[in-house]
Amino acid sequence: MTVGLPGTGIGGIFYILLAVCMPVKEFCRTLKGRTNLKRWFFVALQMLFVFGVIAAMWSELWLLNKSLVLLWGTLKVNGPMIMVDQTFRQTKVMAIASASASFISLTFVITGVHVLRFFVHRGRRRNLTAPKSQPAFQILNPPSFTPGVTQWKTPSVLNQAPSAA
Amino acid sequence: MEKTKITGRDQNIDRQQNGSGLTVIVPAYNEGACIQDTIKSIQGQTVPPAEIIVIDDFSSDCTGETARSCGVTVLRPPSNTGSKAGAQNFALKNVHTPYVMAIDADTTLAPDAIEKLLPALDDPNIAAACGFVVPRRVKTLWERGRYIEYIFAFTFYKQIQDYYGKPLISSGCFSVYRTAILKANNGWSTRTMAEDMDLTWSFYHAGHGVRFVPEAVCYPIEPHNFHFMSKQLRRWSHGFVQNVKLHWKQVIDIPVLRSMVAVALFDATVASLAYMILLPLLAILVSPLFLLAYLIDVPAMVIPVLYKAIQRKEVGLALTSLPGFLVLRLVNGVFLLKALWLEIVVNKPLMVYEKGH
Repeated sequence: MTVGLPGTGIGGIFYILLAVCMPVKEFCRTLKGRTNLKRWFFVALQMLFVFGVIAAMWSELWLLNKSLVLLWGTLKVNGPMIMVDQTFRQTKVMAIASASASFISLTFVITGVHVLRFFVHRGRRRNLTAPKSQPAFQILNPPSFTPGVTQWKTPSVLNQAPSAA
Repeated sequence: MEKTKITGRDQNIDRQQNGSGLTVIVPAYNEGACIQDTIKSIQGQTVPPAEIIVIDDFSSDCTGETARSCGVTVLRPPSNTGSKAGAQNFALKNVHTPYVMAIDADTTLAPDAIEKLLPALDDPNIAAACGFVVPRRVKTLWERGRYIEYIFAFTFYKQIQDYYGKPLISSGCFSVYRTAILKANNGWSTRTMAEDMDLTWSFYHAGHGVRFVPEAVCYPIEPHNFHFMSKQLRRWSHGFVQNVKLHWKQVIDIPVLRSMVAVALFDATVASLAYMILLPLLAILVSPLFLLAYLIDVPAMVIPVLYKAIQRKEVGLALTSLPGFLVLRLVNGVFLLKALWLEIVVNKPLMVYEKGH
């Protein structure tokens, strides 16, 4: 199974950033003598993907830009110049805004995880230093979620009584 | 004393000559139509397993008889075990080899899949390894969408996850496990709808590693229409949310994995909301150009997809399947939002394991 919606949101940027960090990580491994040519080839391939993705996005925006300029030029003769001009500016703003929003969101999410981790650790430390009257082991491993017993059914028998289960 | 260096190739030759030390278990419930293909593909491996066990989970069709006619061990529990995990656990008691592989009953393997996958477990700290998943049938809109989703995720995302030592999931349809570690974990848990994710995160929490081997390929049958796709998406979406609820305190201490899960959760929530609500609103209220946002990332996705498609000589198939993916991810967003709502806000966890076909 895969999680989420591949390609959408901040996931794409996150994985591109992870790929960009690969050469640095691999260089550190090389210094420690823990790498080989196969690993470097893999890193090079991922970097190729990253450059390919950036080039593809850049080309798409360039094409979009050119198409809108062309459209603007055509429609200018016929009349609704202001509207098309406004739309063109909106497109540029939209592209910049969505890229910025993605980076800001990613920073927010990664920072948020570390802040959450800090509070979870602080909670654990507090529990460890709690008076002996409190059962610390119960707080350390709470059964946070137990949905219960599952049933395995084929769609055709979903409306029947669970005789076998 | 002379030291002998054992290479991966030597170990593969050793496995071919002396046996793989592997038991393959195939949980099956009413899989009479496809169980034979699965067994044949396992029996035809370049490194054959020591034993193949099919768990006929109280099927009402010919699953048991068909499997038996193929010459494999068939186990039938006294009653339906309730889930795929339950069926797999039923067979785990009978596994005595160092490695155990779980394969879905509708999944066939490339002839060298086991040979490619097993070396990942040469490192004693690795508890599980999974392979590349490609849909066997790619005809309908939904199968095409799933084809692109898999090709993209397994070529780009999962390879990066593996580089950082943290594949998000060891896919339940085709994974090999170290038996001792699996048994120490009490097998597969039935507490969530995504037992593969649950097991993978439990391994990380216990300090073990998981690997992804892209060279080992399997071919499952994916849902061919919306009816069956919706069942699978519901199970997966709820399974993800259930696992986040269950494991978040442990995951938060595992570097890289915590960021992957947080990003996936953010995208499941915010990106889905943006796709479902924000973009249509902006398109109506501000400018129809906002509809371009649904397609804006397509060129970026095409790069890894085309790379794999060229390797597999499926460029035409990949390009014609792209619209299917765009539809599938919209539908996926709806199911993710619904799962988040039901599991977290309403607190109505999904507990019925519905098969995808």
